[in-house]
Amino acid sequence: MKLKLLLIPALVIPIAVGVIPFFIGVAFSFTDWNLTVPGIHFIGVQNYISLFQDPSFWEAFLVTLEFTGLAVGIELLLGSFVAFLLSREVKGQKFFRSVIIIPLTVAPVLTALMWKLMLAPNGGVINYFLGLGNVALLSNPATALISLAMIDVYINMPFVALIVLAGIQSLPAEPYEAAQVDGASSWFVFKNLTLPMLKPIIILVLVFRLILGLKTFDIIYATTRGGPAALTTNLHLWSYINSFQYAAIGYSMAGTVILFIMVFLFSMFLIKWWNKSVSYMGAAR
Amino acid sequence: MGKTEGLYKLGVYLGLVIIAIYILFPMIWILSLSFKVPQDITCAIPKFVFKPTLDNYKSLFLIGSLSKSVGATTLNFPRYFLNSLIISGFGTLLSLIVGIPAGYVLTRGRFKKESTRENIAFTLLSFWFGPEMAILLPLYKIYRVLGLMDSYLGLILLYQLIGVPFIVWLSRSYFLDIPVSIEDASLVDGYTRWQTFWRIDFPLLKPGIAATAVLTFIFEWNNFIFALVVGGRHTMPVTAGALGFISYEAVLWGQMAGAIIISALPEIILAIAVQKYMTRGLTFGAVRG
Repeated sequence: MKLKLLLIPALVIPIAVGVIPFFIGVAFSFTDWNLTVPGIHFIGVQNYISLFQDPSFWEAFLVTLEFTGLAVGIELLLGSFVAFLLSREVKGQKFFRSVIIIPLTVAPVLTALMWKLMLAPNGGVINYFLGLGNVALLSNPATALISLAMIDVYINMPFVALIVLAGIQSLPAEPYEAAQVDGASSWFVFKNLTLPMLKPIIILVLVFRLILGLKTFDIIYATTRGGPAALTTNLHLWSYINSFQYAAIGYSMAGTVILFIMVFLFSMFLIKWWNKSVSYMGAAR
Repeated sequence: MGKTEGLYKLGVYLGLVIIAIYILFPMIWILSLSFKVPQDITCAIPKFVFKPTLDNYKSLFLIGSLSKSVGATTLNFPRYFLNSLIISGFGTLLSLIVGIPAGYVLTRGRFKKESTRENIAFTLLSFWFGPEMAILLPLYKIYRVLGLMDSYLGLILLYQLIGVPFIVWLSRSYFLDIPVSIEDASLVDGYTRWQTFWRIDFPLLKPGIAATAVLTFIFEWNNFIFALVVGGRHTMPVTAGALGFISYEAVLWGQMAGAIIISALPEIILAIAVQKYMTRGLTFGAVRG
């Protein structure tokens, strides 16, 4: 009985700084509270209706999906390939496995600033290597979002590589020996053995990367702050700008609630998918 | 067979070298910038050979010299670094004190409804995966009323949303590795639960917990958005502080590079020390690695 008292601090603090503010925020979203206008009134779902008619909201919605899809897609492909390379027995394997964890360790804001320095139009080393002269990749409308996605790939591709590597290392040897005896081609083995057996772990990677990708904030704030125009403003940044620059508290909270619901539904769907794949495969561990 | 095998190995090796360059080059380049004078940084053709200077590091640590060079903006890097140490250090300590017992109860405790266990665990987890802005604006208002804005206490409490879920989930995965039967044997021998924890669980847990503490510290050190919203001049950590090197008056590339290096180096060293636990940590215990 007394044992459960130990749970209390772990609940009280997150409730105080997390759960309560969240519900207060939801309550704000039904008001017209704006710091530039006196008075607060309950206005029902008016903010939500306005949101759906607000092109800036839809643009941010699309940017969120584009950025996440682009970054996570590349991370998954490149990361899986790197995992494969890291799983091979070669000299210096330990060194390569240490190197891969570095981008996961450094604060994303700092990594983003590093890339901002390297992508600077005058004297930036990337522009020099690519022969781009003084084109500013991060502030050019055609390349801003892609450049941001590439920074995200640099930071998070190692996550995919590390987790998929763990998956490759836990693959059982017997089916491969059987396939070798039967003389199966390597493509056949990959398609019918490796891929299905790695499926739970790949889904797990997607759970993490897609959810965290949808709420990306740090690297965008540190590099483009949503610009040029609003071409790299995702929903999380949209919410920040509306809250702290336009002071439209009720309205921005409504947008944030939509983002929260989107992330929540997405997570539910992904976790269900993962559970299903794990129970199919027996165990992912 | 021998020849294709050799080619295959060479291909793998080449791939690994390219990836290592891709990852290390930015770090090395920023390190080199931190030793360059401004003229060597902004010249049109990047300089690969240059005369190194310690000016950037000197100005980071000599109080006042930074603020002079950017006019109105007051930059105080040693203070940011100290703030990061204080907030992440005490934050991690509090997370451990609060999180490990909770992880224990969620593994070993009996619940009337079995689903309570998972509900609590997943609610805690949602603070990692939910967008922070969903709580930050209301929290900003609450903190202003309570006088917690720009205070260590305010930030350390908020950082528990990073530390507690992480430690609860990971310690739970470590407790699950310890068979209940050895604990029961100790209880039958007349030891209390408290004694049993220190006799049986703690020695088995120690390496995992140490690694978890290091990872928690890194995650709290890396946080940016919390400090951006409820931090301020007195509590600004290195993550939010590093942005100050870009202002309307000037961009201090060299100093910023130095600040990035000094802020990132401790993390890299710590992470490599607990490398073995990385996979398990990053997946909240879902993958043993």
